[in-house]
Amino acid sequence: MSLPGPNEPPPAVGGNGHRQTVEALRRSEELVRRILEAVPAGVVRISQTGAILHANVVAQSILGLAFDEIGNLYVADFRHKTFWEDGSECQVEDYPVSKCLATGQPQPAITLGVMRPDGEISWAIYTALPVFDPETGRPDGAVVTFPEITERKRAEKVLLNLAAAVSAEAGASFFNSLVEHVARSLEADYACVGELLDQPPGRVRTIAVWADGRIVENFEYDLANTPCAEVVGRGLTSHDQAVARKFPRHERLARMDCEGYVGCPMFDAARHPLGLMNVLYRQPIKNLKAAECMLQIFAASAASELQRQRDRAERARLFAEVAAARDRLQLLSKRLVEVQEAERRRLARELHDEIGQELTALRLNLERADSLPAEATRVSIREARARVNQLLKLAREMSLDLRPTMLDDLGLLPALIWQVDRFTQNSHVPVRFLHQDVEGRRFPPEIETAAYRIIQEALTNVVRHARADEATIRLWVNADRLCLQVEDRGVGFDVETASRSGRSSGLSGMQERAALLGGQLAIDSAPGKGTQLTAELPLLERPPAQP
Amino acid sequence: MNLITIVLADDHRVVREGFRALLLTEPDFRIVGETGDGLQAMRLVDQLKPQVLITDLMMPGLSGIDVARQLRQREVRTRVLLLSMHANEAYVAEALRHGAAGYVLKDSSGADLVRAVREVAAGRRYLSPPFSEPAMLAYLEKFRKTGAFDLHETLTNREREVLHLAAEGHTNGEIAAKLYISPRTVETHRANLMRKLGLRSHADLIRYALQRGIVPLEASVKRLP
Repeated sequence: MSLPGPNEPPPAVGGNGHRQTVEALRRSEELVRRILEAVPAGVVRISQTGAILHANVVAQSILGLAFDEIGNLYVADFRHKTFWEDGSECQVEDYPVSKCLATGQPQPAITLGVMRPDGEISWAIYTALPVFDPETGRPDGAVVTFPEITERKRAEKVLLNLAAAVSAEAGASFFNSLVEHVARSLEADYACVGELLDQPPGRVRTIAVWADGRIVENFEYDLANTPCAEVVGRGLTSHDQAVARKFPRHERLARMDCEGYVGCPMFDAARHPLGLMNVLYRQPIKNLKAAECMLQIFAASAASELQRQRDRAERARLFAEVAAARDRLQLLSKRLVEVQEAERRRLARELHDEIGQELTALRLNLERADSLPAEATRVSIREARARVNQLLKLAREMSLDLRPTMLDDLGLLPALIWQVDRFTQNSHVPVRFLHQDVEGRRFPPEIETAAYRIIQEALTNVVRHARADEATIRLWVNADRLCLQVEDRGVGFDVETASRSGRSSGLSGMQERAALLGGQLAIDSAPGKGTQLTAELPLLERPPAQP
Repeated sequence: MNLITIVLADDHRVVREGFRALLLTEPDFRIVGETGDGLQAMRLVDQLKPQVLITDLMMPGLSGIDVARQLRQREVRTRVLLLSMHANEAYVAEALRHGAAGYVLKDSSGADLVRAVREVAAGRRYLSPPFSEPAMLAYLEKFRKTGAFDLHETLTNREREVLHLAAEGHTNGEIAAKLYISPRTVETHRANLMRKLGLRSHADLIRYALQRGIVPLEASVKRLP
């Protein structure tokens, strides 16, 4: 039995009214046909006997059939292999349309793959609905609709492969594995993932590069005059052909004689650009849509891994910082105890050697006075008075070393002037003391103490290490900071080496003093070049600076 | 007989009584007021207008040096004689700088204090031995010429190099390459030198370099965008 096909002309009927009806019918059919062609899914109309009455262009593409073949085709004769999602073959009886024709019931959507004559499997989601004759109400075939999901299936497969391949990888090998998969999945000759550098701007450093079948060395490049600039600036960018000619100044594009380019930006969680991923082709890109789609998936995966790695690095850095601060604190408190002990030893020795000696001599003076004749007693008392004066002087000096009360009583500048004067008297090293904006000013006591002690320590170093024959001190106020500088033209030293060796306890002590007040202390020195120490102490309240 | 009127200020009562007993052995000395507080000493001087204020250097309320300074600012004619236990040039220098007429060590002899009162009342200066006016003037003189200096001196050699190159219009990257240091280090040097010199912007930096003659006019103009 032969059913009227869609191409058969409608039966000819005479009369004018008939002609109009026929014309209206023809127009209506044409409209339906156009609508069917416009639907972005396969649509096939099947007769009650299983003959394919009509198939739109999308349906022909998905099923891999040319239209003229369809006119004579029954569903039961469909020869292309059909698969379930698990890969097993689907039999004709299990087609939704077969069940629909057999039962007269609508069939739920199922995913099936059809192997087309070109060997590709096209995947779509098939739904079959029964059609009833509007007059008799009897079943009159079915309509099958099926949107294509081949690209999605491919992307899913790529993702599954990707997940399996790179989930075990970490760090650099993650990105190496990723670019390899990108290149293989997209059949590209080159794939690369790179991060934007903060400094200098407009520069990219690659994280992993796959070129012609192997991982190659990373490099940096400028965004200017590359398609990558468009990616970073505007988002997903592709050139399906002739990209090397469009960017003649891009060295790699030219060297590889590239045709195709697809690039996708990578963002962090806050949508800040992290970098980009791109693929290059020596041939024009056949399936641009698929390449763009997959590259976006890969780029998202790369972005989240990059973000993760950066977070990890940041955490590690913070941890190291905390650990270093703790170590420094331990060292400092240990040093503090040592310094305290040394100070006590020195005091004990001075008390014993100097004050003790003088007191003993004084007692002898007084004891002798008892047994001496009156004339000699006067001499002895004069001696005793001299000894008392000497004792007073010693006691004052010790007290000043312990805590320069003049710092509290008179302020920083007079105390420093006196300290410098005493330093020159003891060391015979002349000091040029320059200052501005500090005369008559008082600063917070902890700032004055720190400045005083830093200069004291620095002057000690000038004599002990620098062997300089002159020193310069500058003291000034800059905006909200008290600044001081101690400079000599002595032997100098290598700052790196000194701060790494234990010898620099004096230096680190000064640095700690400054840091505790939220300030900083810089030392500029080199062997033979003298030493310049600069400290800046903030006068406003603020938390201690990161050392 | 010309009387010398005195206000005596010391926060240690026993010490003050000792000084009073000592001073009252001089027939021409009159102690017109006594206090143990710096602010109160100021008020007594205002009210009683004595010829001499004998005040301890360290006192609650207002230190002896501050009292001296304020009296000088207000052009009060009372002469201030500071009593101190600090045999230390720094204290003496500060006392003299702030207008004290005399400086007497507390552990010096009673005769020393009496002499000091007579000297300052007569309009002269008096310092307890071992201090002498010429020696103290020399001490003060040593640091008088310490005034202003040029902030440019405070730059390190590196900072000077960076300043020079930046003023010539080089970028941090170019400077880094020339000096064989990292761009980050250049950035730090640049921030430090700008802070030291009080420069806010690159334009400030260029202006400064031009004013100092660090770069000739053409060199920087040529490279300005």
